[in-house]
Amino acid sequence: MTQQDGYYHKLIFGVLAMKSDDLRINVYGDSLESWAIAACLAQSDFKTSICKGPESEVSIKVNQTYSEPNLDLLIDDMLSSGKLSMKQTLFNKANIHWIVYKGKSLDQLLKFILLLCDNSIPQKIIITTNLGVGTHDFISSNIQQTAINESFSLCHELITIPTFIREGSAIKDFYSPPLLLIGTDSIEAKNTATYLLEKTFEKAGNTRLLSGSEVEVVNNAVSAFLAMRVSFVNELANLIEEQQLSFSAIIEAMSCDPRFGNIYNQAGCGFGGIALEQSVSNIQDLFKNSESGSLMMKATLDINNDQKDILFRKFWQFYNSDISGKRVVIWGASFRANTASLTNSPVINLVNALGSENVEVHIYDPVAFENFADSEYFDFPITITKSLYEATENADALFIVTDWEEFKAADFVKLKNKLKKPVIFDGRNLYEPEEVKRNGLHYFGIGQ
Amino acid sequence: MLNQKVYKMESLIKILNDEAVIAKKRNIRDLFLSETERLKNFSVDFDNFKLDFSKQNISQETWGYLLEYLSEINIQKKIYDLFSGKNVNITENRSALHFILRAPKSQKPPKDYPSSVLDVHEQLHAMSSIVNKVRSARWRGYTGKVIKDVVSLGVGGSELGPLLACDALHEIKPGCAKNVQVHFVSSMDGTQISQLLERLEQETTLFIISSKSFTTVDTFYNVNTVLKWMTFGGKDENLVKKHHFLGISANKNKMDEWGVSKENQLMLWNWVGGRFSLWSAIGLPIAIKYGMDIFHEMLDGAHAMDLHFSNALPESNLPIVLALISFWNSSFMEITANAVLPYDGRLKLLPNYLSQLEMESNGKCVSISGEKVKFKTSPIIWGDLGPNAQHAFYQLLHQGTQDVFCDFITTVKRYDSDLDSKLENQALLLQQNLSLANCFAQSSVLAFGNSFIETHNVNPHKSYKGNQPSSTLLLKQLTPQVLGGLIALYEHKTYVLSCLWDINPFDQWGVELGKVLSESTLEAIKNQEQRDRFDDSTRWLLSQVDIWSSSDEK
Repeated sequence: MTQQDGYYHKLIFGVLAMKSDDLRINVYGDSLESWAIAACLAQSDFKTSICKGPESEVSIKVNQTYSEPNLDLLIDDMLSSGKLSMKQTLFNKANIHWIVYKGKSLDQLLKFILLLCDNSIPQKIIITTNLGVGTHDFISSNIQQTAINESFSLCHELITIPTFIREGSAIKDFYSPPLLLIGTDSIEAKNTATYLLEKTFEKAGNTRLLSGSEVEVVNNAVSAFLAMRVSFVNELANLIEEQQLSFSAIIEAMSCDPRFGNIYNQAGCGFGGIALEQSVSNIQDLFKNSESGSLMMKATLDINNDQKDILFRKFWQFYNSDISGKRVVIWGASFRANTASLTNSPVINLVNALGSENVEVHIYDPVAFENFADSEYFDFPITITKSLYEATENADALFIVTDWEEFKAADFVKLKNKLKKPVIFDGRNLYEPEEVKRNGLHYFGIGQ
Repeated sequence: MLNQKVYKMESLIKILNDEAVIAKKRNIRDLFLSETERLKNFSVDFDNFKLDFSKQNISQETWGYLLEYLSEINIQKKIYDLFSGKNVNITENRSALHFILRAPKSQKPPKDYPSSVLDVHEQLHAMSSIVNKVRSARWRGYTGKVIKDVVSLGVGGSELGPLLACDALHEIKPGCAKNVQVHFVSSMDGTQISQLLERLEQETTLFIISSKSFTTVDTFYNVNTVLKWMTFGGKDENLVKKHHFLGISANKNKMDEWGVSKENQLMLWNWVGGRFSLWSAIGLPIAIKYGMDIFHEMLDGAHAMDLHFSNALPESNLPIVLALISFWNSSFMEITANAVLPYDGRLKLLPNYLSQLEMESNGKCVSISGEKVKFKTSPIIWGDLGPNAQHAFYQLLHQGTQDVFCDFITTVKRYDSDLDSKLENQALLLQQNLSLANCFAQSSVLAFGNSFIETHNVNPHKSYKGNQPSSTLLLKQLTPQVLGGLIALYEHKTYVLSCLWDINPFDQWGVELGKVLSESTLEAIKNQEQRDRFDDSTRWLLSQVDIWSSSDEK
């Protein structure tokens, strides 16, 4: 914050009007998002601590896996200036608790929140999670229930702020998200959020204050729609491929029609990550008891699961199923560029499919393998290589799974010379097919 | 000595015939009045099985003679012969080692088959890698797409057992595979296969050819149709065979010849009869549907029954008791029909299965030494789900003129009432009790008839003669073990019956001549000049086919 000392907020906080210095905020959770929120709040001059969340069993530590250079710098800065601190124990002397929960147990989250609400003082609680529609109301009714049980006229504030920070652009997203959603049912809580995120409010493209459930639906439905769009594009690409037409020309022309637009138009080997898949299943759950459920969401996931298998099938067909004993290289493992996350990445299906057909797999990814063991994700051993061309020598195929920038400048001549059989299976359509073919390589993209 | 033995047997048969003369004039109800501890002597309890056969028309004395006859034929020796690998299938000069298919690895193999136990486990291992590959969505078709449907092509013993088990295990947890559907095709006329192919996709369908000889005509007509469908449009036949066809057979050469690739072959042995083969690789569809663990549980249940059969005393030995009941009813009481009546929808295929098992095994008129048999042998075995049959053929059981002995079979525990179980379970539990009540009520009325009606002047149209004998077999719960035990129980019952009748249960020569004649009949359908050797009736039928076929063409 750049405000001078002594700046008082006028009654925004009701009776608790205070200097921003006096506010103590605890951010719980050990994820890119929790660190980004904590660092940015500290930068806004709030006394911020980052604490163990409901799901983390290990102590919190500065995490270097996020491949967000700016964020790492900001965290270091805030830690050394003392505005941000790390707490290993559950610390509830704070005024505001912001819980970033990535786990899957509503029960676990509720127990944690009840612990925070256990000391007869009204608490201000923000939850950022994607457990599905109904989470906010469920927690809200439970914490108010305990307040009644203890016969205090306590009124806890509960705010749901859906994830608005994406891996790869965390700080930018915190300060100027295209849409900031605040979900709560009380005026006091709205004020808390407005105060805390004052800067973000100013720069956000749009801001909506809605009820907790409404915010949950908006958030999930938008992601689910994007997932659906990706599955539509992928399905179209596959169908067009069978017709021997040019998908890239078709989708480019479609994008010119403003009714269709030009985002999420890339055909590829399937979407991964947490946000899209989780939202699709949340929307599915929301309509579970409706007559037919969400047919759209079911199709979205079915198509995506099949799409994750498509590179392998192209490889299988190229070699007429005679693939046992072959050796291949995969470029990219994370579910998209600029993240280290392998969650739901198409590479998992690809490696397991190759492994079960006795194909030897080498993977190069700029960051994905720095901090965790491959065995967490794969049923078969793989070899991690340290540079782009290291394992391509004498390999039977090259696969591309992630659209990392450095892959776009591939040296085709080098590849042609190194690969035993010069063939590329490109799950992200990074190259111009004609150019690759001119260099004497076989090239298979998605929809090409 | 031998003559003395023959004399003893002859006199026992005479006694039993005399006993039957008395029994035919007697009411089953009289036995309950005169024998105070009837249930004590006419019930058997083993593990998850309880049998009540007090409603059979057998007095305690008769039962004693039946047991005596059993020891005269030296049943212990005959059981020993089976389990020690003697050539019990003498007309084909083979042993019948189906019990080895469910023996644990540590079991000592029969002397003449030293590698049998290990061979079996080697095949189970091969089977499990196929099963795991299919169930984990890693078996791929020729285009690399994951297999979604598995079709078993087989008939008789290659179909009935797996079909029964696939149907019966529906309610087990964790339940059947979600990524694959299992289908069965057997009928030679193409009815099943043509309907199925409309729904399946070439890229994602895997076929299992199950045939002990790998020459079964019925099966291979279906195989030919399927292969045409699979290779339509000039697809590479070798590639298609490699990724879409598994073979299960005792005839490796024939599998090679047809083109089943080595890693897709699972082996049987000549010492397994088709109707005793579901424990072998023939059970592959069961394992694909429910997983190898469940398949092993079935084997364990059957193995436990093997141990019971070889160790328990005759009067408490379930297979022996069931066999003696059938022996008495068919051979002495001259009852020619035996109804199998399960009161559990999951066992709806059991009557069919037992029809094959018992009638193909014991429908014989020649003794082991080639002479005419002394007795009426296997009765006609048929049946249906009891509750459904109550609306069909029970009328005949209650008021018809035929004597029929019945096997009621029901599970006792079904549908959890746990907190996390389905909402409708409470209501389903009531249905289960209703089903049990019907089972017990029907057997009571069949046995005791009018005694449940209070007035003395019964309208003849509403009169129940009673006196139809029956047994009731209670299964604690229909788990894979219990199902395995149940099937093994009837296998051994069938064997004991064959010993009592002195016939070979392991051959089936009766089905051969029709197959041979069908070949020349097929020729005769196509070619009118090849009909001279046929009888008038067949020639007339063939000529009618000519007339209708040609008018269809116009």
